[in-house]
Amino acid sequence: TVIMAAEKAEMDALKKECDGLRAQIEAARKAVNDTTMTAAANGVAPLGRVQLKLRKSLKGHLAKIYAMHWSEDSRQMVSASQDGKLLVWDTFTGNKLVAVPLKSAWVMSVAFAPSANLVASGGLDNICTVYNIKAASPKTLRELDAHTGYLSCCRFLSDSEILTASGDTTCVLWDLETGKQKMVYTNHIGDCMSLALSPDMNMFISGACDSLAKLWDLREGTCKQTFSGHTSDINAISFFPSGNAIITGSDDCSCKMYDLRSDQEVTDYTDATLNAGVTSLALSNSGRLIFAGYDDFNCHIWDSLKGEKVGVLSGHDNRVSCTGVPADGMGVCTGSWDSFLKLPAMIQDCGADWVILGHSERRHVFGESDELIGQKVAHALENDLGVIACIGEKLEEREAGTTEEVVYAQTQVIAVGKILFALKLIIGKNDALIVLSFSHCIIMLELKRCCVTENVNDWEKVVLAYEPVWAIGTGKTASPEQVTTEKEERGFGCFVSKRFR
Amino acid sequence: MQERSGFAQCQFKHSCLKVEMSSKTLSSGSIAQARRTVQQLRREARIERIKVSKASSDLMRYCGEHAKNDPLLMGIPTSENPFKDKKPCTVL
Repeated sequence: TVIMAAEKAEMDALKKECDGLRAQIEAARKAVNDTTMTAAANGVAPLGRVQLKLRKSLKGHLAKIYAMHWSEDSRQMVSASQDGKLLVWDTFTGNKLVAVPLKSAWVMSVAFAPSANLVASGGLDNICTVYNIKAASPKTLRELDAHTGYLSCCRFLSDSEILTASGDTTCVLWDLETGKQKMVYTNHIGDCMSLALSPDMNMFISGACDSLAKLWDLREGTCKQTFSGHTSDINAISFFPSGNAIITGSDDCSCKMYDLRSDQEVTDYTDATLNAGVTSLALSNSGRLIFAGYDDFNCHIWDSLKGEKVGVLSGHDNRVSCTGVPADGMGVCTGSWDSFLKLPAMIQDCGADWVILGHSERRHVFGESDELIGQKVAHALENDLGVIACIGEKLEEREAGTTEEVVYAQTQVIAVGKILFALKLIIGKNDALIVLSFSHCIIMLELKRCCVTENVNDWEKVVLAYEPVWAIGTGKTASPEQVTTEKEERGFGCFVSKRFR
Repeated sequence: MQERSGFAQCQFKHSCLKVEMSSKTLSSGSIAQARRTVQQLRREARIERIKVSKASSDLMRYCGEHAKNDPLLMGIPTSENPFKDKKPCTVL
């Protein structure tokens, strides 16, 4: 108890010092707060309406585009989509130059090296993979694997160094020659979502889910300044071209400008009509224009000095996920989730109400992954289409005894798409039709332990068809016993008896 | 946690647990964390700050000086626009 008392005393003293320091910082900021950027820019001539003309629409991705990055030559650009590919484009012609297939389709970030020899990407695999795109076919150069959370952002300093931001709340500087971490930047208490390098490359800024932006000394590894004000996750961050200010975009639907030398927020970019989170942002070459991508499918343009909205880039059919201005400032590129969602609408126009997804041929001949199928199921349901999702194992998997894992993996991926199912068994001509219903993925876990789901009010919109691949065209069929075994191993039996209709 | 239409965002965005400085657990781990926080705040407190009026005027001056080199602000003559689709020439 003596030790505990001493520890408590130290803790109290430390807490008191923290509170004192925080008050000191606030007072120091207030002392220099003699105006706001907007007030100071009162005499600056307004811009009038900024209208940009759409010059190119780059089509080629099959699923949501999550990230894009310009090459320093201002001509090439790389984009990443959850269709599992990186595409390098020639933006002058609209041609695709290189396609890089990804090991993991759950990509969240992509970067072009200044040399244009390398690109990097990463996402839910927690790994930053660096590819040499100048080789005859894209070659994996390094797999940077040390983060314990998803990779949200990556930026090359050169062909030998790259910075990453992660959901594990840290940023890391990597040595590409050794593949090892050179420096770990720890201070955020929420997932890091975005980072940007200073023009002089001595510092970088990060934005995180703790609603803070932080300025870091790249070489010393220390956090130099912390900027607060946002009330939700910061998704996007960028330096003002002079390097003296930073712009942030947040889920709280606002962008903010913080000046580094005043150590505080100097402008807030908010509009009462804008109720969508900011996903991405980029600045024009002089810093006067801020292009901010929002969840409302638009990219809004702000006058950075006067804090006014001066234009909008519309034309996407879904969330704008990424925005970028090339080094020469000649244009702006926006990427969106819409490249895939147009598809369900087309199906509905054909008069179909149900979509079959995950059919074995699409899995094994077209190579569609479990994740992609799960995503398609989620999107079909979002568009009010019923889904017949097919699951089933291959003969080698059955003979190897891995049926349970394969089927479960396929089912789990479908369930993770926030789908409402209801459990039901249909006995018809096909003896292997099982209808399953799940609610949110948390309930999915309970399903594994054989608890009955709650939400069976709505007529289930998904039919899970158990269709073993080994039974197709091989002369073998799934016997009712085999289907029953499947059921019982996973406790389906109890579901069936309770919910049989 | 905000509701999102895309499941991916919902899944991964809040995968990390926040580290809380609990005064209940008087383990040396908490004290180490508190010492680090104090060290960080000391670092942030000691920086020099300039007046917002000066910072603003510097930013405005930068915008003014670089406006002419900002194609998105000034516009680009069609002949110099690299993104414009080039139409083939027909010889009549």
